[in-house]
Amino acid sequence: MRCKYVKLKLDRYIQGDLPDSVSKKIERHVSSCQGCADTLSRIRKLQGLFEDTSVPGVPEGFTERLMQYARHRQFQKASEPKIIRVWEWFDGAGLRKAAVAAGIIIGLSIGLLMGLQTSRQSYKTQVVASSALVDAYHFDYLTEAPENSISGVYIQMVSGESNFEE
Amino acid sequence: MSLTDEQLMIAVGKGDIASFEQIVIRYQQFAWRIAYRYTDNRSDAEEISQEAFVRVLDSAKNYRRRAKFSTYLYKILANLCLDHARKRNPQITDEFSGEKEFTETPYSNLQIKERDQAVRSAIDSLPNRQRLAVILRYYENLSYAQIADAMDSSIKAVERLLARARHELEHLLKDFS
Repeated sequence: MRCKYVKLKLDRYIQGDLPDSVSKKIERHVSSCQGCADTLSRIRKLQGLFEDTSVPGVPEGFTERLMQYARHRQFQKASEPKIIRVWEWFDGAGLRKAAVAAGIIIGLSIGLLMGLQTSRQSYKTQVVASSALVDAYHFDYLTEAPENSISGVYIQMVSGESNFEE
Repeated sequence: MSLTDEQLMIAVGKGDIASFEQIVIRYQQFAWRIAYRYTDNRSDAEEISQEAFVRVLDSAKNYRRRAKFSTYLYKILANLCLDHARKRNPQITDEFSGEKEFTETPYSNLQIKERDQAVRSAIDSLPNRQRLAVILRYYENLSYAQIADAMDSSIKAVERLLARARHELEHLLKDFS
């Protein structure tokens, strides 16, 4: 251990504020280093000078004056119109609430957008599928069949556009 | 069973003024002592300690149980003491020659009074942060971690701060040590 390090820790050593392992190392160092032993003795002497007991007691009526003021303040606060302070949302708990609310809103928005996108895509796929079917099997002659005729229903059934299951 | 400081603070946050009174009763002596030792002046000390409790009341709603209440109060007091020193001229008048009451002084020995006066003058002559660290360490016996918390500093910084303060005090008080 270096003397510079030990000298900085000596006051904490006296106070018992150091871990045991460090205290023991300091003890060993001080027992073999006259300079640090002198510093330790000087700190102890100086500490002896701080035994000052001459502090007057708390002034009379301290609590009463303070409580009177506190009650007055509480009353004033209660009678003030309620103001919503936005910055109070940004302390520890407020920030967490805001983050959770923002997360839910963002999640719902993404879900809604994805749902709309998927439904549009499946409509397009179905249209392509039915037109491809008509081209592939040369059902051109059936496309002009009247609505709800057997040919029309057949094309709808084959292309998957029908709602027979419902 | 009496409530802990932290439980009282939560009640104060909900507007319970009786819990606030309990906090004041528990800590008024402590707050007053630090403020008085720092300012060396009764009216300033009363102003600082009252203001500390008003701040406790005002911020009770936002009080979190992460830190011990005493640490929270040290921090408020430390800030108020340092603010006070910044606002005022650092040369503090010595009230000891006036008609001061020493309600807790068991000694009448003139030499001890002289020594105490010299110690107080020496402490008063230190820079603001050193003075506060000395009071918290040698009068209130706070650990280095508590002092660091109160002064928004690190333990190593407090070690250096107190080492400088001791060096200065040794020089100023060489006749007494």
